[in-house]
Amino acid sequence: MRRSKRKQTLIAWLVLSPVVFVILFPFVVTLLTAIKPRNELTAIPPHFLPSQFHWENFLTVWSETNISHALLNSLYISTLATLIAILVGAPAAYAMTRFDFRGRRAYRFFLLVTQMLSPIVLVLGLFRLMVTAGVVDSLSFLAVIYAAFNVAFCVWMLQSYFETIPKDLEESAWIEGAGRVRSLLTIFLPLAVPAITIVAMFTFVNSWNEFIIAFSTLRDSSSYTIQLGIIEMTGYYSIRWDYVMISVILASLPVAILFSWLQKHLIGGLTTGAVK
Amino acid sequence: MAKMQLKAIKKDYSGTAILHDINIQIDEGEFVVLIGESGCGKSTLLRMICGLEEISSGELLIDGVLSNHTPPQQRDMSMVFQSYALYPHMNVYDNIAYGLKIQKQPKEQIKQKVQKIATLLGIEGYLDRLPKNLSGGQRQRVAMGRAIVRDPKFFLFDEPLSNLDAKLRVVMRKEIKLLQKRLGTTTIYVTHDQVEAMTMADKIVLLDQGHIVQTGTPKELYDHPNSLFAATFLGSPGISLIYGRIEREGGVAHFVTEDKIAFPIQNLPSLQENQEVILGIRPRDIHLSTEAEGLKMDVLIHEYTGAENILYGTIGNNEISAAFSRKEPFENANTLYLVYEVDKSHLFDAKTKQAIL
Amino acid sequence: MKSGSLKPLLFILPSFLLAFVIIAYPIIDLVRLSLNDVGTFGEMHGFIGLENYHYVTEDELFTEVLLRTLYWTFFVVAGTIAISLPIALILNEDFYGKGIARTIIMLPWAISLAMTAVIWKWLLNPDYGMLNHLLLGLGLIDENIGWLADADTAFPLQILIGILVSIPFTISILMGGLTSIPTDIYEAAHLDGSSYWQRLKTLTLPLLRPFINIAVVLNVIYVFNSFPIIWILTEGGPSNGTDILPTYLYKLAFRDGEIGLAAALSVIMLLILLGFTLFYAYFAMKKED
Repeated sequence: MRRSKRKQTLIAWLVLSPVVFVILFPFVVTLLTAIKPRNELTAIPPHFLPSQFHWENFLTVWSETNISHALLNSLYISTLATLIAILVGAPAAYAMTRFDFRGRRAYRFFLLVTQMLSPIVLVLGLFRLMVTAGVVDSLSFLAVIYAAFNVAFCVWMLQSYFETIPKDLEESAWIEGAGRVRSLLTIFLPLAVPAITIVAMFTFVNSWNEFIIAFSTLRDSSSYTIQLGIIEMTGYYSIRWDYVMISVILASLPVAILFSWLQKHLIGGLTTGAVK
Repeated sequence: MAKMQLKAIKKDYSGTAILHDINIQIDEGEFVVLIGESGCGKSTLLRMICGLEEISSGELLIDGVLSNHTPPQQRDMSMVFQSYALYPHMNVYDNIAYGLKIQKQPKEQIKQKVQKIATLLGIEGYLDRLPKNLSGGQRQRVAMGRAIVRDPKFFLFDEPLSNLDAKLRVVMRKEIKLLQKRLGTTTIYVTHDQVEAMTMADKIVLLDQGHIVQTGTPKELYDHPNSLFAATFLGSPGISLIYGRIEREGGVAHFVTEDKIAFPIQNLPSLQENQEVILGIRPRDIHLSTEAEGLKMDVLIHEYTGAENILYGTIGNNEISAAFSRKEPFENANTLYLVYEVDKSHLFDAKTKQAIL
Repeated sequence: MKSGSLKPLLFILPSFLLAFVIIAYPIIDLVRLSLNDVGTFGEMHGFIGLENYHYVTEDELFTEVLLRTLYWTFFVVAGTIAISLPIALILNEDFYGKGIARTIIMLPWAISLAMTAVIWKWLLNPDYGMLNHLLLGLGLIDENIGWLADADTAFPLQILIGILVSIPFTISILMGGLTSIPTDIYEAAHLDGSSYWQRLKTLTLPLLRPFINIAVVLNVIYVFNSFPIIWILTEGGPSNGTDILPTYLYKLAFRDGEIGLAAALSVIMLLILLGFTLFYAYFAMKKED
């Protein structure tokens, strides 16, 4: 009835191979650059493969560059942004799934608009807001801004997960005598923890990878996020591409692994949250 | 003491009325079944009774006390949901004990009560399992255990058996009835299954499109349906309906179908000449007769259920179903001659669909 | 439970306030700035009406950049859809190594745009970059090319990279759509004797249509606003040859100190975005009803 699976495999990989190559080639070069001996980085003609693998580059980069500081900054900002976004987003998502109220549609529309207004058009205003509030280079305030831009995403994703937790369960708890708060804490919350974790991780990755707001508003290099720290390294007169690539790997690999693992959740969440 | 009274209860959803003028009296220890087709408002009514839905107007009296606005937590009811609503992250023990813990009962006492209920329901071996590791019947029992253990004033059931297979449904039906009898707790039970209603109820409340059609004991509803809806809703196989009109001759009313077949009816004084009526005959009120005395039925389908022979066919152009004892031989029967118990037949006005008395 | 009570609004309030303050303040500020004569440090010298708008739109460079932004948006989105659709269809079939293929295709999504741009900047390095090395090795070019030194080679490459990073998100949406199509209609069509291409044309594509629409609209918005790829590779250069509105805006605001003009440009972009948003809202809300 069907084309044989073997034949399908052949066709599939044949069609996919150019895309797969274009995706993987840069990553292979990244890794090879990271562990090349320094003199081979600028050899003419260039060597694709290093003559020896300098894995110790991964250690020297810590002492030679500011990367550790930037990583810590990013960790702080992303964690704080995630906490704030979840703390304000989860109650909103709960209300959206559990109550039918006046203004529900308006709020939904508001979220849609905030999601669409990308930071680039607001960044001048954001910078002036930070100047006015006297919080330029404040990592905490940057985290608040990140949280604001992630609220819509959080509410949508959480909403689509919360909808899968039957309302019956809480109602049953009420009938058994549990108050609203108690049923929330003992019935709803334990069941929502996995969903909240997933959405939190996404928000973390979003904040970790943010570029334009940090780039436009952070002035002092000691408050740079990892993204800015790496860009800064490519601005020197003589660029240490091996250090740059190691930093790229350090900045990307953990979140890439996290993200790849989360991917399947995003497909479901996005389509039920944003499309429906 | 656990009585309930619903007086002129109404429910509106943004201007659309979905329950109209509901009046029900529920006595202590009574087993009341709310029955109707899906969308008739029976589940909404149950949710209003336990406080999950607001009552738009009317009065809900619990033991004589107006309780329209009492929160569900304080109504002292327990409910078995259609989905069972077992807490998926708690094991069977914690599911059953949840309500008792909220009441801050002593640990030892909770343990005793849960053990006792679990034994009563035959789930004592599963107390540390999570709901997802239970079969449908076991989940059903846990849901019942959770309802029973608090010894509430009222049990509420919202189509509790609809997720079970046919065999288990019969078993659980008996168990619920037995438990309710033993505990004597006033019970309100919602279902769309007429067999459940007939077998379990002390009192049936039949709903249609947000109205109460008829209230009464199963026997009252079965023997004296007040309307076409009530007559067709109860009974399996369903009541046969024959359309015709009344011809009066002297003081006697006769029923004649369009194809000029005369069916015997009760000679009710209220029947008018030329009135269009519907004659209802229950399949089990039909008996075999002779060519000389009976109506001629052409058999179309013969079902042998083991307990009975059920025959579907026509008398003239009129469809009819009849049920007979399993002992009667019907192999290859094409034609039968039937009589029925005229005093048990029903007449309905074709326009108002109400019973003619 | 229907309730007119304040409780649901209380649940929503914190998120609303946060998003509103962070997003509304800048908008109001930008509108105000755009209508004033503004100094390099943001100090306002008085109301001047729409003069900033006139000034920013009269510049020939603006027209050039706006047009390039439209090219950029069109080609990236069109290319993304054209490549993503067949890939999504393939990933929806059953074949050996499907899981690996999917992980690889989704990989660019996990890496930030800035990091992707940094990697490509190194690949495109004229002397030491691996792209020249590869193309020389394959005999496709005769000498090293300074890809980013010339807008005619830089911009098409930036479009290609733009497509590459947009593919995973698009495939996600399309695959969400594909899994929502019930398989029994395919079985029915199969029994009717239809071919793969017939089923694709008569079943899959029409049913996928709303998802393609959403993917187009969301991509238009994201690509229109895209900053890091162009900025990190060429900073909009050489001589504004690869500038799009976001990079042009950044230069006006943070490099040239033309705060009033930058504010006016922000508002213009905001209005363009609003148009797209309403368009999308129309789709999204229509689906909800």
